[in-house]
Amino acid sequence: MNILHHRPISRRALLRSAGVSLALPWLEAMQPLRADQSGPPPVRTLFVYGPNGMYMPNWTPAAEGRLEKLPEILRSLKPHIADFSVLTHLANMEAYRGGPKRAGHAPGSGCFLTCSTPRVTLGSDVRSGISVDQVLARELGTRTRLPSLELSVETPTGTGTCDVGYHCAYTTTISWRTPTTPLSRDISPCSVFERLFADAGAAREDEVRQRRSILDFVRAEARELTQRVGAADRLKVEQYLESVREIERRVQAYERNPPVPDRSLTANGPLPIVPADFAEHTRLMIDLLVVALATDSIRVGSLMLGNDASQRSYPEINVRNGHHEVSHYGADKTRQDKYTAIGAYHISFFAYLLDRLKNTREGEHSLFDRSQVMFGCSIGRGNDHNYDDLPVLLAGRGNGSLRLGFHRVYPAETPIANLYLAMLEQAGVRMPRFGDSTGPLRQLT
Amino acid sequence: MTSSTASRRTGVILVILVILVATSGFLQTGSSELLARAPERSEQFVQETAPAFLKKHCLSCHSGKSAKGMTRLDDLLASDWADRHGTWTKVIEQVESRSMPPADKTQPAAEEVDRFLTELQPALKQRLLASTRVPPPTPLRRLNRVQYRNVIRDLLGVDYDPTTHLPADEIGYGFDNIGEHLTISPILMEQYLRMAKEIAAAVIITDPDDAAPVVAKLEWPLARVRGPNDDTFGLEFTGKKLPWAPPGGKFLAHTFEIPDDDEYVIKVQALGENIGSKPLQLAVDIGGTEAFRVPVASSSLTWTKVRLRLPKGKAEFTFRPIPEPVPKGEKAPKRGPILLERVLIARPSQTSDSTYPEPHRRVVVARPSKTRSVREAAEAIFEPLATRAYRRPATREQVARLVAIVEKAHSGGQSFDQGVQLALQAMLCSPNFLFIVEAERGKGGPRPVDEFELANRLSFFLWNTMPDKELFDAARAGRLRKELDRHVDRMIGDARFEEFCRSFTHQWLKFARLKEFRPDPKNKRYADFEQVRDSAVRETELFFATVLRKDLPLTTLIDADFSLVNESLARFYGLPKVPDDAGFQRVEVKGRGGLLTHASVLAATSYPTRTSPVVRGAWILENLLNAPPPPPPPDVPNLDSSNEAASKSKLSLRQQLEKHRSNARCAVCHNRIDPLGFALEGFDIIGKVRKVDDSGHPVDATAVLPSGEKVQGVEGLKKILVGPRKEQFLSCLTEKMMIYALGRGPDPADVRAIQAIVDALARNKDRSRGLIRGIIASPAFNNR
Repeated sequence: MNILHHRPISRRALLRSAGVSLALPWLEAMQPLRADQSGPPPVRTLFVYGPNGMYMPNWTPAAEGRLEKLPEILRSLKPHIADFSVLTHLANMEAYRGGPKRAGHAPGSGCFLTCSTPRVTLGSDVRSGISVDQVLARELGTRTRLPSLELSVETPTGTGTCDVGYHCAYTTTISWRTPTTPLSRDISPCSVFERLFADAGAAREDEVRQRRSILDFVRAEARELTQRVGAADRLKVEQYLESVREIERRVQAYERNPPVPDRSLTANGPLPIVPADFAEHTRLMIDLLVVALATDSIRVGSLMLGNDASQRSYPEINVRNGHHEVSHYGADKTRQDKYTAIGAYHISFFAYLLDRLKNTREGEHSLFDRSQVMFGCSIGRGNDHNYDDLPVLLAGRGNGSLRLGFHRVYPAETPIANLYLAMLEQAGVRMPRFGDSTGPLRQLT
Repeated sequence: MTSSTASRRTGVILVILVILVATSGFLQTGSSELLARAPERSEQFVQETAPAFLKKHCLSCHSGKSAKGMTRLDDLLASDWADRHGTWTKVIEQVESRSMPPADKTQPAAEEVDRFLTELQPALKQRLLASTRVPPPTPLRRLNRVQYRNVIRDLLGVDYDPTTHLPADEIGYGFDNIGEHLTISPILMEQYLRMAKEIAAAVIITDPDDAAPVVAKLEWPLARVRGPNDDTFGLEFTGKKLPWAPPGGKFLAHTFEIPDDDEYVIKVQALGENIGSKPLQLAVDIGGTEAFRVPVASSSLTWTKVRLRLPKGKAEFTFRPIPEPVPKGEKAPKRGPILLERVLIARPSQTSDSTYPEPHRRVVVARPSKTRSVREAAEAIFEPLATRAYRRPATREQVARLVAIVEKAHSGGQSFDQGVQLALQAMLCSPNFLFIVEAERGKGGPRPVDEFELANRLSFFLWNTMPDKELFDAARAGRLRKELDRHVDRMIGDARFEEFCRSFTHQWLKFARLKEFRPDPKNKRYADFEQVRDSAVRETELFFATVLRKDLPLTTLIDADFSLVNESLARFYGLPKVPDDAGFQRVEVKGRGGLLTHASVLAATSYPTRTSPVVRGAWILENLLNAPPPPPPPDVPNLDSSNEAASKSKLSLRQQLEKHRSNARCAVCHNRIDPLGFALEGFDIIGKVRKVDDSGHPVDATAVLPSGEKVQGVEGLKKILVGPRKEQFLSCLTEKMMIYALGRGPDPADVRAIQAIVDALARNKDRSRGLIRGIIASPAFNNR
């Protein structure tokens, strides 16, 4: 008996089903009757991870306070200058505890989002902590089709690039579902697209029919109620009826003309398994993340721009040496420049992500208005793998209270866990502490 | 209306008193003393002072149909003052602030204004008490988030948390159950549809196999199966590590005990990582032979169900991932691991009505049979269910509409249970379910609420949820009103009464502020607050519940000599040890008792780095005395936000505030606010007793009230609150609880009811149950 039969999915079906997924809430068609009485859309959270640290002299803004002149690496963020903050002196001190001195990368990336010291092991008994994205996935992911997305643009080869004494899991993922379950990352745009949209269309006709019969029912109930209540209350029942009509209009609109996600994603046929070009690959993954957020398929996700200790070279920006190699720059000016160039290149994709979020409308607002997006590296300087002054950016408006556009300099060794605690709060998840946190990071709201 | 505006509109009646108190000085004259001489003073105001003042300064513009500003004053004295309450408020504001008469007109002398305002206070109260104004009915209320959850729990027996779908409810008059604010919008409607679907799916089992009794199972977190070509992870199984298995070697296995030869449903839930675009196949071998395969997809949990015959005895299951075919010359992709979430073995032959989960059985009380049609079975289900869900007898039409959904689904090829699931979903979206419905007010004015409306009012007041069976039965028999006292006592004794205590105290005492409160992490003294944050709130809830359940005097809320603490709170407060496993215990306390000494209240009124006599003083005025001070004028420098100023100037906080009060504009309010707060200076920001204040000076908790009375610390303050200000405190508490009980803002007509309740309390030693009984007996609660 073989119950495993793979059902091939046509491109057409993909598009149609994606349309259904777009018919979920938080769409433009769904304007509230009065803006001040409707609930806000949910807060979305993204973590973008840059491998190998940054060349800090070209990262840290010269002055504290409102961002004005951006350092070289951050220059592509100019259009977003009022919408992100550079957070200086955030530290992951847990990374310093334990481990052979020779290892510099795995201790950092292994606890980047967990703030728990990773166990030194080459075996299968890997251990860190639950990562902040997975805390969110647990709390919010039950309401969405997928609990979260963990994406990367570099294959976890596991040959040679993993760190001394540490299992490759620590450098190839930053997401931990449990302290002993690192989550492998999806690197295929095609696979992500299928996970997002493949099964949505199956029950569609039934759904529409059922929803109809429910809407018919509640309309009849409300009409009858109108006869029983007083004049003032009748207005409220009218409001209820108007809400029902509004939803009906949307159901009809989708039936007539099902919207589809960004057609450019599938315009040239199915998405590639793994694009060879870094830029195309990264942009596609970002597009998918944004579509996934816009359709409320996920509310939390993370993207790694590479494994830590990545040796990827970037010929498209004339860096033919490996990233890891140039990150050990010493006093070599050429290496410093190349290291800077890679950092700036990575940040340009972060800028692209912010663009996409801002250009995705959600009612009167943009997706950006209800998102918080963090960029960070798990080490500061590539030279000596420090964990006490990490390059960290925060962008978005969170639940509406984020006030960004600053270079914030915190007291030395302020736990990065404090930032995660603050982000959890923004997303409506209250925890007494996370990792080695001492309280939610200040000066964000 | 935005919530900030709404929350400012507290205490309609007392807005007037506030202003007068401000003029005449807080705590100068006890209100009962005032009232004793009220009638003749009032008469003097109505006959002489007011007509003279109005005629001289107001009526030339504010008369007749074309009165300026649409404010007509010539008929003011002759009207029912409660109906013209808004106009009176305006008059007081304008005269008190000297905005009227306009600057280009002759101004009244200072003593003229003083006399007018001073005499107005008792006259107004007296006239409000004499008013015949009919209190307005509560507007149609939507269930708020908490009520929705509670009602679903009581109706269907499932706990469903709506907070991820529903936005927080809007607050009005300090509370979240105010009809006027509980409106509905398309976004909310969408969420109600969505939630109803999830709830109906959780309650009604539509696949009979899901109701088959489970005879053996393994549940998450249990196993990680190594994927093909995956050398990343080893094997783990129920926490016990298995030896590393090379490809083709040992696979994850488990032995189940099968009770009998029979057909079984085996359900496997698995999830894969790093799977790629096609599902991975996980073969399940039973006793060494492949029995079936489970398709495993990336990050989506799906059930695979198979029916198999199994022999009695041990059955060894082995979980073996199948490698994908790899085109020649290519390297096999690395896959996995696979996370096996659950394996259930159920036995359909043993399925019976009783093996369905309780919530399902509670709903599906009938099924079609040879002698019972689909319609009859659906009627048997929805007649009682809709009656409970709509919280009053369901009409024939209402039942028929639900039955029609079942019939239509059934004739469309769906099972009876599927039809019931759909109709249940619809029922949970009905306005009759989502709103607390009361029929129209009578033509000639208010009518007594009917027995079912009364049952609902009672249960949403005292339990924050739907009526239980006893209330329903009493209402159906028409006995509820007759047996009211018995039911109220029963309800107060019931566990659900804590829903009221939680909801009411949190909102009355403004604990929302506590959520945001984070004591300065640098100050080690505050390090143990996090451990008692929740316990401290619980202490207040339990304390409040105890006062009401034991029918103690309401003044106990202020001057109790006991509290309820657990082990960590006892340690926190420095009280005698309470056993770790004893939960909350009633303990006698000296120098610490009553709401004002609770860590919850003291922390909710502090800044992270220091105490604030201003915040604490304003909190007392607003929540205990119903005399909220007006917000500070916008151009005043905010002393409280800049701590630096204090350290720079080396002034103590008290000195700074004194300096602030030397400015006459500030003094108007701060003379009333600050002394009350200073009396609490003996407690730090987290509510611990202290000897040294935040600026390093010895604690000085003495205060002088505007009346000249000296107050010595918290004990002195308590004495005043239960002494000369007792009536004001009780009126405040009564008004707040009435707002909560009625689900509407206060109305001038409520003054009579509040005064009646406070008077009745005084006759009965202020026993607390009298407050609840009094509210329930009030015309506003009883009539619509």
